[in-house]
Amino acid sequence: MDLVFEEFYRSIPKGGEEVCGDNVEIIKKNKKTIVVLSDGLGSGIKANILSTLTSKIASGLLEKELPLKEILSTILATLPVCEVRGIAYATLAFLIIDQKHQLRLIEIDSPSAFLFRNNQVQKLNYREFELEGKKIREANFKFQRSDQLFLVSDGVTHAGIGGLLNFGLGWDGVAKEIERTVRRNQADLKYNINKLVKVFNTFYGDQAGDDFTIIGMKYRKKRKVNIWSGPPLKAEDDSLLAEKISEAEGKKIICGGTTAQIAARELNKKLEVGLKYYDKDIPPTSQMEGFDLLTEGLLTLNRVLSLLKKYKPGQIPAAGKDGASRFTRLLLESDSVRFLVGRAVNESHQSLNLPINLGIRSQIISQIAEQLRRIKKKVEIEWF
Amino acid sequence: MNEIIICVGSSCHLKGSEKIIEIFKEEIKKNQLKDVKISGSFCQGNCTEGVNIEINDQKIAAVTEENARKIFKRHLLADQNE
Repeated sequence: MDLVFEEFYRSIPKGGEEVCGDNVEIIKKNKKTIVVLSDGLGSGIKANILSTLTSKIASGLLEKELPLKEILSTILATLPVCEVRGIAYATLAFLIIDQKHQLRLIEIDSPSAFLFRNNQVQKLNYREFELEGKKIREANFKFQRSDQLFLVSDGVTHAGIGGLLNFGLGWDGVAKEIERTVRRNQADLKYNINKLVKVFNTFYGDQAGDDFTIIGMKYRKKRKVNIWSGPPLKAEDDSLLAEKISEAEGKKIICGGTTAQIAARELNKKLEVGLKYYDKDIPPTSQMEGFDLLTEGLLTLNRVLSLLKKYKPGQIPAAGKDGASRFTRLLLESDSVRFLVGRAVNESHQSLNLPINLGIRSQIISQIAEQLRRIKKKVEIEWF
Repeated sequence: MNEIIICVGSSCHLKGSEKIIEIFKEEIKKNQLKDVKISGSFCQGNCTEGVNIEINDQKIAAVTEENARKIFKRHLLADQNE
């Protein structure tokens, strides 16, 4: 069974701040996943810059696969240290997991990780040592199929401090919340992260007293999605494409009104065109048995492209109900994406006075493919 | 039973099908029309003349925000015009 390591996070800025002082970087390379979390001292833009700097340096060096000791010394020597107080401006936690599921976690001044295993949350076994005058915790273990690991910034362990609770939730309190949430729904990490953020926000009385971040990680089965967009140049390929998409493995999307009509005709299925606008710029979606999503063509593709351009690995995709948001979610939730692209051109799009440039389908799809490859999705395109 | 079909393909969308749908829904309500089915369709093959609609199998092209109410009246409120 093909597995993939998935990770989701959310960062919430301190109440009243525009940006979060925590930063997360996720890199996937050579079948390894690197996750870095940094929490800048203080809050607001200064903390944001410090944590971004720290996590970018860390992830950059980790990506180059330097020996761990060397990476650590370099990071610690580079970390901006406050001259007056003599402490590092930003905390740092990072982990590397390889294709043999071996995980190595390093924590510097950040709360200990939470491992959900056999239905309960436990603390990892750490080895502690000093390097460059810093106390460092290191854990090495084999990540099991049903394990889930959570990293948090101290804004989470402090949730409720001085308000609802005297000293905040603390590690044990957070462990209890994670345990309760994950037990109820082990499969949906995204949902659990959103749920936990709600819980921590509640402890803060919906006004976070500090920036806080939670990252969740686990293995899941690989997912595939297939997209047919555009009528083929040769009309005799209509039936071939319809057959290909209907027999494909995984989720299925048809993008384009005319394409959907061809599919309905060739597969002898009923096409129900929707009328409901969730977003006035994105035409409604339709329904056909056997397909997960049917959208309009070029306007939707253009929106999908702009949503993908803004996406950072590990983020939880936007929740919109319109065709483009749903399309984007299906792409982001999949690991391999296969496009069947017809290159016939709609004459009317070329001819007249349309208020915006609709662009050429093949170009937009190539750009979407490029964005998907940037976030390490496997992409195949077949042209017709 | 009256049936209205409005094209929501890319081209007609850009020419304002969303607005047309809104106007038609509004008129149906205002005139307390019963037994009307309003639905969308994909490209009716006449993009250059959009927005394209069909009322009771009769194709009507070039529907705009301005003439939508008139078209509605002409095709669906015939009894009242007599």
